[in-house]
Amino acid sequence: MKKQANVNRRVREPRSNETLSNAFAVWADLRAAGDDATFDGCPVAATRDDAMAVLSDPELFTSEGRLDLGSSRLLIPQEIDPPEHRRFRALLEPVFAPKEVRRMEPAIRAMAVELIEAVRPAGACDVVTSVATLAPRFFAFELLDLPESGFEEMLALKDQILHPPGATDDERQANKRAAGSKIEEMLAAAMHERMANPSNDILSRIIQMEIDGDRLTSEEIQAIYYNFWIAGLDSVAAMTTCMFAFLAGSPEHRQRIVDDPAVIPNAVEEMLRRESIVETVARVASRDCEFNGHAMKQGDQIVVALGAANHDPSMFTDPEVVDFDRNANKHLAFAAGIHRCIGLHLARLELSIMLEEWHKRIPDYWMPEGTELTWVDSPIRVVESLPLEWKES
Amino acid sequence: MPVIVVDMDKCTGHGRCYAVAPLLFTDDDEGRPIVLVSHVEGDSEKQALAAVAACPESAIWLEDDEQ
Repeated sequence: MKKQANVNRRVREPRSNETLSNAFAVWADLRAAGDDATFDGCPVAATRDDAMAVLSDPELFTSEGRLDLGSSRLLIPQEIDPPEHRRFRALLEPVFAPKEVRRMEPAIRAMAVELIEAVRPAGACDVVTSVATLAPRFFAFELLDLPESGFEEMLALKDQILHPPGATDDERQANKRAAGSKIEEMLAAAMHERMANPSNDILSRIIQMEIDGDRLTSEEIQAIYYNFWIAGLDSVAAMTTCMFAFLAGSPEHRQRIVDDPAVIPNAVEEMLRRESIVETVARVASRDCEFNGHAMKQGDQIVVALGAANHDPSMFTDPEVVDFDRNANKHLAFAAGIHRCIGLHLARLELSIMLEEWHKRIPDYWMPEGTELTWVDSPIRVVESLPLEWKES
Repeated sequence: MPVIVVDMDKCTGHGRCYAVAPLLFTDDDEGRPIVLVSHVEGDSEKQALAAVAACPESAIWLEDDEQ
């Protein structure tokens, strides 16, 4: 298996809180710039049509090696391409298919209720630390069956990868890789333990999977573990935070959820679109080509601005407005094409259950007067802290 | 009567069709759709159009049945 891809790494430019808190305006500027738009120095697909054109052409715009998430291996399936990619997705998609995910509902609900009941009597909490960050516990403990004692360290390592400390790009890369290396040790230990004592968790199931009669190699297994680990811990947490930040400021949307819980799945879809917490994904040119007038060399990255595409007014009328009844919601919050988020059914269920159980217990809440949100400079949109208050009943 | 067409080469399993039109579509073991009712009219045509509108891959459309 290849470890090092021939990719011109995308260097993330640090962004100010002002830029981060005005993401919707930044996205509008990207769309307005048309062919001149760049992001982190890369050409950018910022309209919905352009985003789809890139995402649905995996032969020209490949996924190899562009994630840069601290792993020493290409992540499977996110950083590999067809035909290998199809074989791995065929193995892994059934694990996260709706039929499987529905069986997880009682356990997810129990964990959500436990988190909410832990904060409810106080009449106040920081959603980030007390609810959202802890919400993926279900994923980490029930599905992957990782040791609970290591959860805080896992979260700290995940943060170090997504927004690595350091004054220069070199320092940030070194810190990211150091965290990635610790995670690899942790996941290797988990793999060896399951090889010795197989059980029913997803990590054990992956060890037992076969392609054309052959078990996966330990390199492949670890590349899958790392991919699931990084994808499962952060995105649902960030989206939970963004949903509550929006709802805290919009009593009418909150009331709709309280009065009509059946609207929650649509509400989640609409907030996924509007918040677009995975602001961008990237692809790599597999050969010299041109995109919107930009000459691209083989190995150059192109940024697909999912947020900008999800706010494209030619597809979404009044894109900044949250409309739970929005009909044509062909949003790209989970990307599209062969790499669409493999965990999307699980993510939707986790988010829906959190909204249902929270609003049953805490229907009315708000941010304390004068709250100013500070955004984290990370590939995933999230605030550092989200204080909420409510009348304890 | 219009008939539902799903292009399974374009479908990547977002699951929007069986979420918005559960009477017309259900999900298989991989999360891909199975069409339960292919010929639609009236209310079921409206639901089918909602599924068409919700598919991020534009993998679903209605065609006129020649017969």
